[in-house]
Amino acid sequence: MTEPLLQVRDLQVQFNTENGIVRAVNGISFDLAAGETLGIVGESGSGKSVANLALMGLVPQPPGEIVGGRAEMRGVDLLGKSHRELTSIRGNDIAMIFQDPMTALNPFLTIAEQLTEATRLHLGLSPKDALDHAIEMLERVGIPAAKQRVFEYPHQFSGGMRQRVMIAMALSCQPDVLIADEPTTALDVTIQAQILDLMRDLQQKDGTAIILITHDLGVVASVCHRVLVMYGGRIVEQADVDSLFHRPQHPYTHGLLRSAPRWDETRQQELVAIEGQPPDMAQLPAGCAFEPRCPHRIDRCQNEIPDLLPVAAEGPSENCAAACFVDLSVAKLEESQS
Amino acid sequence: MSRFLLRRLGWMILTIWVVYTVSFFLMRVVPGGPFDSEKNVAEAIKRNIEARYQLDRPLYEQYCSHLWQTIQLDFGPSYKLEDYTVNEVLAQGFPISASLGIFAMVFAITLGVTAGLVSAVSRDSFYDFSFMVMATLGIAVPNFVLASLAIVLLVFNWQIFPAAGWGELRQVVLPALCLGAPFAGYIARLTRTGMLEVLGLDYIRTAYAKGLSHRRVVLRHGLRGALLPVVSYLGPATAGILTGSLVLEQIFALPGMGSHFIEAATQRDYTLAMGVVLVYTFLLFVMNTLVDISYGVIDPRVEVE
Amino acid sequence: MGMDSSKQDNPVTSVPSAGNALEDYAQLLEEAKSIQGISLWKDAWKRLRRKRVAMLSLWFLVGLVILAVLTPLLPLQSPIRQDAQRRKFEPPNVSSVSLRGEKFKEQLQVLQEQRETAKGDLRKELDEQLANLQSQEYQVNILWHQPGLLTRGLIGVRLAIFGDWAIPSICGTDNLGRDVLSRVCWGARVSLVVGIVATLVSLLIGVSYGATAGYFGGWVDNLMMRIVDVIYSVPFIFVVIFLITILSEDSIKSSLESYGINQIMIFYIVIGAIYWLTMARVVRGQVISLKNEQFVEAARTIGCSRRRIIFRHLIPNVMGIVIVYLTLTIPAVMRFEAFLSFLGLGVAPPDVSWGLLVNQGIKVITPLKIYWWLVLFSGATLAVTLFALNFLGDGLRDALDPRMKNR
Repeated sequence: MTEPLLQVRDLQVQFNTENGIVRAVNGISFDLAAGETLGIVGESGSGKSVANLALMGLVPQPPGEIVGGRAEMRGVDLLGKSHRELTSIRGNDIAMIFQDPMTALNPFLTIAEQLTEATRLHLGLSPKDALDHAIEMLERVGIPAAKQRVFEYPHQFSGGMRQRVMIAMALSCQPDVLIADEPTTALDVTIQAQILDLMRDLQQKDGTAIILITHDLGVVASVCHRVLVMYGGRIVEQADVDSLFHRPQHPYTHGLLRSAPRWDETRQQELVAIEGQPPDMAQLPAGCAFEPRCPHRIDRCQNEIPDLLPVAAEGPSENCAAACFVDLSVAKLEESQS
Repeated sequence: MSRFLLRRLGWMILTIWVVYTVSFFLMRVVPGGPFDSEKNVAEAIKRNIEARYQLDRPLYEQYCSHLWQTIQLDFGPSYKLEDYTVNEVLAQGFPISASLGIFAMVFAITLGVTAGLVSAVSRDSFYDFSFMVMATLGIAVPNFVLASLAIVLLVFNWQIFPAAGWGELRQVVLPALCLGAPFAGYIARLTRTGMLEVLGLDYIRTAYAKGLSHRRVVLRHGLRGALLPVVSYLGPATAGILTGSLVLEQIFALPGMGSHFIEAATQRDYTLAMGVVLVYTFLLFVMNTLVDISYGVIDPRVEVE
Repeated sequence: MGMDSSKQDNPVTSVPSAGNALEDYAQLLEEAKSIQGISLWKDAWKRLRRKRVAMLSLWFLVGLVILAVLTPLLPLQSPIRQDAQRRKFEPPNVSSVSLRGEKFKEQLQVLQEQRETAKGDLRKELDEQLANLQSQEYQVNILWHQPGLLTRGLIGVRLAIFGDWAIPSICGTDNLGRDVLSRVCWGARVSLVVGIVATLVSLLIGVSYGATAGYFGGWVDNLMMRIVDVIYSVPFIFVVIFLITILSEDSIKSSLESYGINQIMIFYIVIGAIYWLTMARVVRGQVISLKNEQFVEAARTIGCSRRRIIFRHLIPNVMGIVIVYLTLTIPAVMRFEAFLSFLGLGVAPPDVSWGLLVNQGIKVITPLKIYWWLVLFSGATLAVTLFALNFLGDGLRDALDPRMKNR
């Protein structure tokens, strides 16, 4: 097995706010292999965005604080680096695109200026070469009339186009990892499909590994190889995409999948939501964070936090794990029998 | 763009016309005005005025002919100063006031933006705190108090600057500093607030994510957005500098338009006073138009209509 | 943040069956009542209290106002009685003074000295003279400039308590022998009153103008704002100075006074007339954005009358920004009054304002003798007051800004 490109071990991030310490990320560990698309799924507040910002060193340091963990890429711990040291890594080895393309681009600078910054800085291209490269990138992401449009301003582009520009910008230095934080959430569904196609396409051509953060299971199903499910700042399940959808091991994943409306259900059937509310991250319980909402909970769940342990997988894939004391297959069997 | 300028010109003409008309009627209607025959006026001036303003003609004709002359930028003879026309007085005072004002403005912008920038970037530090205190001081202390303290300290006590008079560069520094101080303070605060706001915006995060250094992010990405409110402020700032110069020219004994205006007002030299007001109105208009244009230059989303 | 899930069923997922519906809704209402909301004002006050500087400024200003109101009560020297021969340009000192003046003090001293050495009948005579002297009436109208009824009352109390004694000139005296401390205190009254009243005038004009324009919109709004634009683009202050000069013309002044408008009132109106522009703009902007807010629509949907909408919904929301601008306009007005007094166009002697004091102080600055106390005390008080008002205004602005809610 080849060495993973990125190895994250026990990452912990907290925020010191007026209302107390918010423990946004509570010890997550995962690997990212070269060329794979890893999906990270969770509700708002589950810590998925913060964890990835921490990898880039973009968590605002007051009030945020990385209080533990390592993130190794090519033998170097990203979390230990200073801002200055990170500038040569960001945009160059790891790139990130964000959720809202409307606000993520600088409205005062032309696309050309924004696209050429990274390449001139990291690759040392001359202004002319950088501009040519920028136009090429724009064409690759499907912006028509790239040669003229490169001199326009962000407000002259539509939302979908802007996200393409963002992708072009992120990939212009051919990074090894692309972190995409909810890249399609702010876009129309049809545009969403186009963007996802584009990302898949580029990945195949350039071999970029992608970390795709989303709350939308549909996106995960169409693009990802493997998936991490996060809840309350922890990873509660980890599996390849097929196993996740067909054999979810954690009650939360199970609940998520069940709550999605299915086209084969009739109208009379009620939508099933997960009961309860997401946890207050400033006051996490002593035990499993999902326990208050879990239909399969046992006493042990209130007092102990379950570790992420491998689960015996059926089928070709390995590396499935879930953080739960209850064996879901057994529990469901009991349910269907009662 | 040219449509914009044309419209602006239209507004300016309208405004100046309003000011002119109001002044005109005030001067005629008010007893004790320059045309009140009871007033004691030096003979020579009286003759000038009568010839100039054709007092024997009906009011309407006076208005029109005077308006015509004013349009041709002939403001007429001064009411109080013998042998001087308003034009001459203005021409003499303008360069002085202009250089004072420009110096003050340049000083205010340079100092203000730098202080605001440093404050924003080193938020809540000692520098931030002291700069903001100084800025508030500059804003709260009336400029004539500041000027008098400055004179006491710097002119009399430590004798760094000359007291009054005009001609050398040194003599402009102190008045310009006192005039510009409150605006520097205000600009510093505006820059700081603007910068802090911009630094929290998404595109700044994108810039960092590209691997840009602090310096580049702040200066290239942050500054433009932060400066927009400062640019808008330059309009009222100009008005404030014009007003402030009234007092400061008195204190520092500078024979600029401001002190002429004060004398004109207190001496009831209405023609001169009106001349100054018209010139200042014009200047303010020009400045406001420049501000609007530069707004469109800085922010590409704005269409200068 | 998230509510404690064990306490409450998520009402959305539990579909109420017929019998339980009422119970569920009743339970909802109960819970809703028990959640204590925070009104905007309380929240703002809480946030304001956290800013030490703003609170300091607030207490300072409160103290200042109390001081100004109670000034007639304080044992200060006369702010207007001149004594150019004996007491010119005294630097700050603590030598004792008499309310009635130096001359009186001297007479008193002479008599007392004579009394010490005198005996018998002469002594009795001198005692009588002393008694007469000391029971001499205070010339209230000379010691203070035409005090009004309330002020007179307070002065009476002061005379009863303190009699002839007055605080020595710890701030020195000016070129005409007048006590600076007393002038600063009495000047506070004028400066503060001008600041507040003129601001209120601008508030009245500005709020009504702006609210009308904002509420009606359309061509009314357009026209009204155009007028504001035109006025704004003229350096209005010049026109105002112009106006004041004209209105100070003797003949006009007397004809206006026959209508009962004295100079100080003109002052208020004219100054207020400069500052209403910003207030109008701000209020109009606020009304426009409020008009389209959903809560207004909601109110309309449940049938609120127009009046109710205006008074119960729009105005309270406008008040916030009005208050902020109030606290920022007062220092601007005070500074302008000082400015005018400085130029000789403002408060007329023998009335005294801070601006006038600074003016007088500056006029006598020469390279040889620096009468620093003439500028320092009045200038510093003026500056500190403006400071405090600015800080308070800033603090209020931050406290009332809903965007700052979670910062």
